[in-house]
Amino acid sequence: MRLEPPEKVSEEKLTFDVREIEPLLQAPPMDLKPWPGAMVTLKDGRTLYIREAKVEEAPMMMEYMKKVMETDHDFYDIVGARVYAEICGWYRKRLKDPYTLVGLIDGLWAGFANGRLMNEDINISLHTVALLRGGRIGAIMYYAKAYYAFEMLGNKEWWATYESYNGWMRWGLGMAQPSYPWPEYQHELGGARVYYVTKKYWDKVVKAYIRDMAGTDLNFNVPDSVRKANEVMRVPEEVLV
Amino acid sequence: MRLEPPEKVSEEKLTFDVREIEPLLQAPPMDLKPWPEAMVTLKDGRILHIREAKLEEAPILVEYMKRIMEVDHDFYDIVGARVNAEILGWYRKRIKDPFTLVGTIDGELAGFANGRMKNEDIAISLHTMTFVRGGRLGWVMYYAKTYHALEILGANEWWSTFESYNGWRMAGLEMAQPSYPWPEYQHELGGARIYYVTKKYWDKSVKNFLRQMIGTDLNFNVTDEVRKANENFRVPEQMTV
Repeated sequence: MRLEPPEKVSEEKLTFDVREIEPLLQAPPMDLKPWPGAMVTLKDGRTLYIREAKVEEAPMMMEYMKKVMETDHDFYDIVGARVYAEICGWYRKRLKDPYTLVGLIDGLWAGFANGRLMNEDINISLHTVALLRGGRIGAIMYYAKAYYAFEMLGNKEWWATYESYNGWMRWGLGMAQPSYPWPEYQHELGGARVYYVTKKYWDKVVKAYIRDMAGTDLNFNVPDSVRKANEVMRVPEEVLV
Repeated sequence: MRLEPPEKVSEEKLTFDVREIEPLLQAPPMDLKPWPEAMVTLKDGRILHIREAKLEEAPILVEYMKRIMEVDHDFYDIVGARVNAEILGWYRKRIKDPFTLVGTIDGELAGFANGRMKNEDIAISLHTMTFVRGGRLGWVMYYAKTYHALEILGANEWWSTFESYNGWRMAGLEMAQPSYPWPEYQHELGGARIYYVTKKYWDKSVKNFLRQMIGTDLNFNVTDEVRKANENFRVPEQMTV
């Protein structure tokens, strides 16, 4: 679209560096407190270490998610595709204030949980995926990210939604989450219903419920040996979902 | 989470069919008018046919998007990943009121444009892509889907955002789109700024501008010959993005 300038101008062509345009497309980040790293002893004695994923690990994680996308049952294809896009959005700085947690057992990627902050109050839950069977890894990862939101980032609400019946049963029904009026409120994952947890409900009921589901609590006193064993992440060879 | 029932119950276990749960996860659709199909004679004389994609074509589109996701320049990876997830969301009924248009030339996929209706008033622009160079295909596809939203579906606002500098330039800058206050308003594509076009602005300015850029208008009197030539599409063998 063009209009004649209403004044003489000294330069008729202005050239912009893409670095000048980038601030329009990349959200200025909030100063999120980092996830400090935590560990959990699983029932079988293995130690799950939960840390923030490193951005340089994103390509490896995306390669793995490509395999998940090929799974044609229980909505793993759409979950895999969305998680892939979320990781790529984080990698390319096209996601506002994301957090990406990985659960590792001796360096092997066992769990994934991510979300983003809409603002200081509202935390948008994106996805939780257990990559290894057993050990209640899904529950632990969900607990970790909700704990991060409410206890560390100081959020007041947690907005979730579900693609699969299992996800809805475990978290939506399992936590007796209320939902906002729909379609007035829509989750950014496809415009679905927003199921939410308030900080008050978290404190009163949900925190204890998920902790029970996980079967243990987070231990933030992580020894160097555990940190070191999980410094480098490797992905499972097989997709076990 | 469990609580004791405050009354005797005749059945302590209730089994639900997943079909009873599906209505909680799948948005009841609005009755969207279908895109009536259109054709456009491009500047180089080729005829672009724009029709709704068929659901059974989703797997072909998904496979093609997997190739786009591998392109490591100009944000094609994140755009490809998001489009892949959007097509799968449509395929698996995890996106509210989507519309998915394909532009084909003699049966070859040349362009893609999609979006969804947030409600009766607001249409959300998702992505526009071209797979064949030349002919201002990107402009035509963007025009077609905006026309669909504002002229056929009766939306009053069109909400866009942009991952790439080229996308921002084409639609954000060139159409002089205003943006809503951020972070109060966030586009569901990663929480980025919302650039918008109202129906009033469309009627007054944007529609004519797009028509001028394309050099012609949509022709809704599609001939049988064009329809037949584009009944099924094949994806381009080579990637030209």
